[in-house]
Amino acid sequence: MKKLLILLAGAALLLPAAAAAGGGLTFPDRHAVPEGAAYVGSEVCAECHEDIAGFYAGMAHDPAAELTVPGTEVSTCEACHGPGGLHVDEGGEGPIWGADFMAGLSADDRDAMCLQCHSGQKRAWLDSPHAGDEAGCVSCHVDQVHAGGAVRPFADFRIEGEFCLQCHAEQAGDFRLPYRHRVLEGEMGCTACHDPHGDESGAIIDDNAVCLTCHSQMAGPFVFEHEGVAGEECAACHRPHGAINDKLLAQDNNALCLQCHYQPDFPVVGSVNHGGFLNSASRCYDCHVQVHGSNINPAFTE
Amino acid sequence: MITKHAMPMILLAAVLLAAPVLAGDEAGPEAARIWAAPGDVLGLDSQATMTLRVMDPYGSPSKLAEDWQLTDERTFQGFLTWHETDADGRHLTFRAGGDNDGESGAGGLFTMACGRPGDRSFRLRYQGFDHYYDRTSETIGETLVAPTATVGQPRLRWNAAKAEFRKLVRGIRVSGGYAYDKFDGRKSSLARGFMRGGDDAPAVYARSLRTHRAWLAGQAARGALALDWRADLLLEDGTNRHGDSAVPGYSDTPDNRTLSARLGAAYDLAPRTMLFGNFAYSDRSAEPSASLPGGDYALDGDVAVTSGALGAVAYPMPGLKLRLRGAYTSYDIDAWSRRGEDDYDILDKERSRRQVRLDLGYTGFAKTRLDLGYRYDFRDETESLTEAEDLGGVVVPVEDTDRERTTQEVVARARYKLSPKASLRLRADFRAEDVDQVTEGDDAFWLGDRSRNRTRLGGSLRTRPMRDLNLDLGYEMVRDVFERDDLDGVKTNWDTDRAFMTASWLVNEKLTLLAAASMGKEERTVEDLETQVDPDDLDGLLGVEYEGTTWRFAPGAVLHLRDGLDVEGHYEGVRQRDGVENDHDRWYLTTRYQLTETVLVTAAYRRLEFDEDRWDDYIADLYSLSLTTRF
Repeated sequence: MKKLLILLAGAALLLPAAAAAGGGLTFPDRHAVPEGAAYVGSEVCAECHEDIAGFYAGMAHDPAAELTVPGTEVSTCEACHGPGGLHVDEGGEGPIWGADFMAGLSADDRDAMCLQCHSGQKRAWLDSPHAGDEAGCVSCHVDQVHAGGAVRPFADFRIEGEFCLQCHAEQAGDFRLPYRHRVLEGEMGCTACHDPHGDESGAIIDDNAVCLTCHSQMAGPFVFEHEGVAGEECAACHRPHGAINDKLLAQDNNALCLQCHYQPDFPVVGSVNHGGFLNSASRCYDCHVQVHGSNINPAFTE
Repeated sequence: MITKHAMPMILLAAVLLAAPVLAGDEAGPEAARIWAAPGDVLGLDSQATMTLRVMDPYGSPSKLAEDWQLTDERTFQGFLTWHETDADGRHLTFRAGGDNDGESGAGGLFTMACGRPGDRSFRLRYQGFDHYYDRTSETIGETLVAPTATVGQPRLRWNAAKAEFRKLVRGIRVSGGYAYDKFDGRKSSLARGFMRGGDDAPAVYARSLRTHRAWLAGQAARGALALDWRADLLLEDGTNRHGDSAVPGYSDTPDNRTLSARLGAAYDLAPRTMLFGNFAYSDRSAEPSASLPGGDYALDGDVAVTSGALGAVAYPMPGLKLRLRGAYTSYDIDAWSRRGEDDYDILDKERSRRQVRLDLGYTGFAKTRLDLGYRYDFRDETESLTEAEDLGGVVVPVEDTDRERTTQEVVARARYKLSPKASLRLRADFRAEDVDQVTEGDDAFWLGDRSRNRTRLGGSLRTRPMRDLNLDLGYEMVRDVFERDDLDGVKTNWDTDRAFMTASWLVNEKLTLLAAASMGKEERTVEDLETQVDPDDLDGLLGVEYEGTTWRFAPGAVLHLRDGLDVEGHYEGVRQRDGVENDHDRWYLTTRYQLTETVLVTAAYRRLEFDEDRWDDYIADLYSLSLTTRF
C-alpha cells in the first residue's frame, strides 16, 4: 500500500508536468529584456569580443559551435547576457546585461543561467545543499565561463580534494589529524562521499549509504542489528574527515558506548555486571567485537 | 630529542631572519599547502617530476607506517601529466603518479580523461595503495612497557578501478560506468578479544573483499520539464576472516547484491517557481555463509527500500526564497541465520520514514542574508525476532520491538557584511530527538524511551584589517544531552567547544607569513554520577567519563628570494590531551629553483615526529630532491 502511494505521488508529479511540457524558460525569460532587443547569435558577439571568443575556443561554450538553448534559437552568449540586438545596433553602446547586471544577481539567478541548458541536472541541483547558498555553478566551474573566479580551477590540482578545500578550509585541519580519510594523500577525493550537484551519483540517499559503499561489511542486513548503527548515523560514533582517535572514533574510551548504555546500577549494563571486564583495562568492543551487527549473537560478541 | 629539533628550527629561523634582507621586487607567492609534494599545482601543462626521497627513521616503525604509510629508507617517486587539445576541442589528459615505497613495491594512481566538450567524455582511473596498521593496541592510559605486538605488520591493499563515460545523444545525456574495489590483506582492530586487556595485541582481521558496481543513467529536458534516471547494480563477494584473537576461527564469505533505480523530475511551473521530485527503489540481498569453531552458519537477508520525494522552490517576493521538501521512505528487512539443520534465528522488520524540510532565505535587508530552516523526521519501526526449527514453520517469539523516533531541528543562519573588509556569520541550531520504544523479550541490552537534545551555536568573523592581511576567527559550541527515561535519572552530557584562527600576511612582495591555530575541547559527563553508583565501584573502571583537548597550530613563511628561487618553511603542531598526552610535530622546509624556463629543481626536508612518552614514539627525517620538467 505504501509503495503504491509513493508510486502515485511520483505519477502525480510527472504526468501533469509532462503534459505541460513545451514552454521552456530561458534565463532571459526570467528578467526584463530591454524593449525591442532581438537575438543576433554568438557569432556576431565574437566579431567584437575577440578576447572572450578566444577564451572559449575549443571549449564547450565555444561560440563557433553555434550551440543554442535546447528548444530555442537563443545562442550561448545571449543565453546569459540577454538579446544583443540593441547593443549591436548602437555600436556596442546599447543595452546588454554586462558585469553590473551580473553582480546584482543572486546565486540562484546565476545558476538559472546554467540550468537552462544543463537542465537534466536541475532536479538534483535544486535538492542539493549547494543550491541557493552562496555557492553557485560558477563558484566551482570557474574555467568554464569568462567571468573569472575566486578559486583555482579543478584541473590545477594533482590532489583532487584540494579543489574543494579552497572554500572548505576548515576540513584541511581534519585531514591533518593522526587518523583521517586519506584525501590529502590523493587516495580519494571529496566527491567519493559528497556529490556537489546533489544526489546524482546514488540511486537512494540514506544517512549511512555513503559510508557503506566502501565499508560494505557493515551494511548487513544483520539478524541482530545494532540500533546505534541501523537507527543512528555512522557519524554518531565516527568523525569521518579525521580524528585524534584510531578508527576515526569520536573518543577513545568506553564513554563512547556508555553515552547510551550507562545505567544507574553501573557497572551493570543491561543485566550483566561488567565490573570485572572494565577493571582489566578492556574496552567494550574487546568482547562486543561485532559492534556493527551480528548474524549470530544478539550481544555482538561473535 | 633536542638535537633532532635543533636543525629544522635553526634553518627556519635563518630563512625568516634573512627575509627582509633578501626581499626584492618580485610579486609575492601564494599561500602554501604544506602537505603538497613538488609539482602539485599543475594546470593543464604537460610535465614530469622525478623525486628521490631518503628517510632517516627513529623509534617505532610500526606506528610511523600506520600514520604516514612510510616504510622504506630510500624511495623513488614519479609523476607525469600530459594534456593535449586540438582545434575542435577534442582533448586528452593523462596523469600518473606513484612510488615504490612499501611491501608491495608500488603504489599510486593514474587517470586518463578524453572527450569533446558538450558531446562526449570518457574517464578511466586506477589506483593501488597500501595501508599499514600499528602492531600494538592504541591503549587508553599511560603504559611505559610496550604491549604485545601482532605477528608481522598488518597491511591492507586497496586496489580500485573506475571507468565512466558521458555522451550526448539527440539531446539526452547518457552516462554510465563500472567501478571495482578490492581490499586484500590484514587489518588490525581496536578489539583484543574476550577478557583481554590493554597489554594484549590487537585482533587482526584478514580480508579479501571485492565490490563491482555498474550504473547507467540519463538526463533529458523538454520545455519546462527535466528528467533524470539512473540504475545501479552493486555486487560484493570475497572472504572475511574475523579477528584472530577477538573471534578466533570465525570467517564468512559475503555474497551480496544490491539493485537500485531512481527516476527524478524538475518542472518550471512559473518563471520563479519550480517543482522537483524523485522516486527510487532499492533491493539488497545478502546470502553469506559463516564458519565458526562450533559449526557453520547459513545466512540470508533482504532489504527493500522504496522512497519518494516532492519539493518546490519558489521566490514569492524579491529577496525571499522558499524551499519545501517532503519525502517518504519505507524499509522492509527480512533476515535469518541458521545453525545446523533446525536452529533458525529470524528477523522481520519494517520501518517507515517521513521527512519534511522547509527553508526560508531572505536577502531583503542591506548587507544581510538570513536563512531559517526546519526539519522534521519521523521513523516508525516494528521488529520481531523469533526462533524456529524450519522456515515457515512454528516460530517461538524471542523479542518484539516497537520504536518511534521523532527528530525536529531548527537551523538559523545569518551573514552580515560589517564593512567591505569584514563579514560576520552566525549560526544557531537546535535539534530535539525523542524515541519511544517498547521491547519485550530477553535481549539484555535494549534501551527504552529516551531523548537527545542538541544545541549548536557558532560564528565566524572574516576580516581584512590591512590591505595585505587576512584574518579569520571562528568559534563553535555544542551542548548535547542524552536522557534515558526508562531508567530514572540517567543523563549524559556531551559538551564541546571549538575555536580557530587563520591569518595570512603579505609582508612585502617577497614575503608571506601564514598562521593557523585551532582548539577543540570535548567533555562527556554523567549527571549525578555519585548518587547513582557507589564510588568504590568506579576504581579502575575505564571510560565512564571523558575529557579531551586538542590544540593545532601551524605557522609558516613563504619567501621569494629572487627570480626563480623560492624558500618555504612551515611548522605544524598537534597537542592532544586526554587519557594520554601526545604531541605531533611536523616541520617542512623546501627550496625551489627554476633552473631553466622548463626545468625546476626542488629540495625539501620534512620531519614527522610523534611523542607520547610511550613505546610507540617516532621521529622520521625525510630528505627529498625533485626534478620537474615541463614540455
